[in-house]
Amino acid sequence: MTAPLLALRDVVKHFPAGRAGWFARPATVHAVNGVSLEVGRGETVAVVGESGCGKTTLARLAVSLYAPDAGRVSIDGTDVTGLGAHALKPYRRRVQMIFQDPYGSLNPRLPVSAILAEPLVIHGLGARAERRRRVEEAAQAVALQAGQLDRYPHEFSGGQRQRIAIARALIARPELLVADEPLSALDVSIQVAILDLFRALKRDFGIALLFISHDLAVVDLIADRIAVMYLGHIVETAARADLFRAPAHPYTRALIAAVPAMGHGKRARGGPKSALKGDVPDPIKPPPGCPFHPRCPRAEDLCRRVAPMLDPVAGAGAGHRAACHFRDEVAAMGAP
Amino acid sequence: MTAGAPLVAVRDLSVVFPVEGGVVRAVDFIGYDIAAKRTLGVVGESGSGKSVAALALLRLVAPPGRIAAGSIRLGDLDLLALDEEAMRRVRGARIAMIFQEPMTALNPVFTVGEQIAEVLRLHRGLGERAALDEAVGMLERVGIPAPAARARDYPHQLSGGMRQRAMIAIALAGRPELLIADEPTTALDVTIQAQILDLMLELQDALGMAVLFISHNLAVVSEVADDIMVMYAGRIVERAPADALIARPLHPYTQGLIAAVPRLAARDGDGGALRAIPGNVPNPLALPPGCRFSDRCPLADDGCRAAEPTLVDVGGGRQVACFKARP
Repeated sequence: MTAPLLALRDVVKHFPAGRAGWFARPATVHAVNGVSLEVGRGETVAVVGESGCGKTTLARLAVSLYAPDAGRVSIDGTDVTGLGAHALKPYRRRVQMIFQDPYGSLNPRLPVSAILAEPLVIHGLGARAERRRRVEEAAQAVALQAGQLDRYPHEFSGGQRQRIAIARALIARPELLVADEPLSALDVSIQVAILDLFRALKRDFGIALLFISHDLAVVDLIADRIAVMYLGHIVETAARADLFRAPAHPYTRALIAAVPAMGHGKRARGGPKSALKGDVPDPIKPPPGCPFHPRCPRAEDLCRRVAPMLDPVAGAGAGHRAACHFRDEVAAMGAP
Repeated sequence: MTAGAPLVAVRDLSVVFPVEGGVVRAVDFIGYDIAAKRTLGVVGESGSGKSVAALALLRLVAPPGRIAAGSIRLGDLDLLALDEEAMRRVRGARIAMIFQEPMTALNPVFTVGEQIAEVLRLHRGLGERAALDEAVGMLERVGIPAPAARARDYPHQLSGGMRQRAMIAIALAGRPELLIADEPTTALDVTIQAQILDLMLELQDALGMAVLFISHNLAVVSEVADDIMVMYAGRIVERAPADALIARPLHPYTQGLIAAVPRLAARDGDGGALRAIPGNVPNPLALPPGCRFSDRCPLADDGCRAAEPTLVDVGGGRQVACFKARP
């Protein structure tokens, strides 16, 4: 069996969060709390969750912007955990990141051609003529015109800037793109065009994608496999169709039900849709037992005491796992 | 449209902002009604003028922007003719507003209870003690647990969802006839968004106010609105009962917006191929000639580039501004 392109094994990342008072012990945010995740060659894996669930931290662990406090990160079978900047460099080329904010992630002082060429310079790829050719190639792949390459980022709209950021990520010919909420800052009419671009990259170049999003409707359009995160844990993972057909975790059910639907008319006619009460708990003080139990409609005494493992769902599709004591029962309820 | 006089009647309203290199007509000659006790959804992308149009109802357009023309009537009142003192009595008491980011709208140095009590004293003439008691009642009404304790909290001590509930409590404390909600759930997570939308619908049923619900998200608007108005580059391009607008959009821009919204295929069907609207929202200082959507419209011809269509009634309570629309 060949190694997956990206493998995270039991990764943990905690952040100091200041103190409650002068004499209090410093608090810790449990951002990612023992997560294992694989992305195969050419595969698109989406990580879905709400704010504070740890999905952005997970993305940064995947591209080695953060080093994990525990656990391993490997790329194509090589353990890259804790490698220094120099040793890491070849792997950095193979895994590129795209950020949410296309305004903050491009150097305002460089023309687009220089922004695109920078990864080639950093990785020492190509001579001058070769670099120019690859810049033009990358620009073409994201539908930027050659005449636009001399312009500066502020001359572009949000959607075009995100295209530039994608072109920059593509230019070093990576095998995996990690995209953290790449559509959230864009207008609706522009989002689809960028989503189409990702689908084309997947189809035409066979690039693998780790796609981080809060929006299940978007994820439904691009993912092969989905992992749902809650409070630093993956609570469910399955092939896309299986997840929507028979979600096995009550949180996944609630997330699906909460996606606004068009053409079903006023909510009042269908009754309230917010099955979940209350807020996401403070990641500084995660609840004991199952992290979801304070908001869960199905929670019992067991859930308050014992944290469920991410275990296979009986009779479900291959690789369908959920961290819920009642996963088989929940999956049997079918689509929400 | 319901019978009788509307609660709010906006006519020929223009709001302009002087900027370097010209004047931006953020809202350009629009007219619409809001019926009592109904929800009018306003949908548009950035730069459509949807938020500015709402702020104009409260005469809160930030200088140097100003209302350049038109009239706004609230019942028998001509809002643009009122002096500032009279306008202040309208705000909070008859028209209230909630915003996308409650943290910037709430006062950080007063407790949540004090901020609700202030509205109750000002607009409903309650005494100090009675106002604070009623404030706790309001917090309970908007679903905040342990309301007596939360009333003593400052805004930063509440979560995003709880803050939005507190802001709704402040807005509703004056028992307004119209609540303006500008992207009230955009900053919230989806499960919290669902809670707030449920709360708003429930409160509207119980209290009977009209709601002007502004959002860039057509799916969210379609879940709360009776009627929907679509804005583009400072103009209303289409208005219709919500179900009719989603089922059979008449304006090519509305059609494009609906086709651009991702759906959960397993639950909602794929609704046809997802597609983008080509091009970008136009620069407000360099609008295309004729119809403002003509440079992105698949149906545009020379006629569309020569003259600008006006919003006309096409029956069934619908209005559309397009030469090519067939009712």
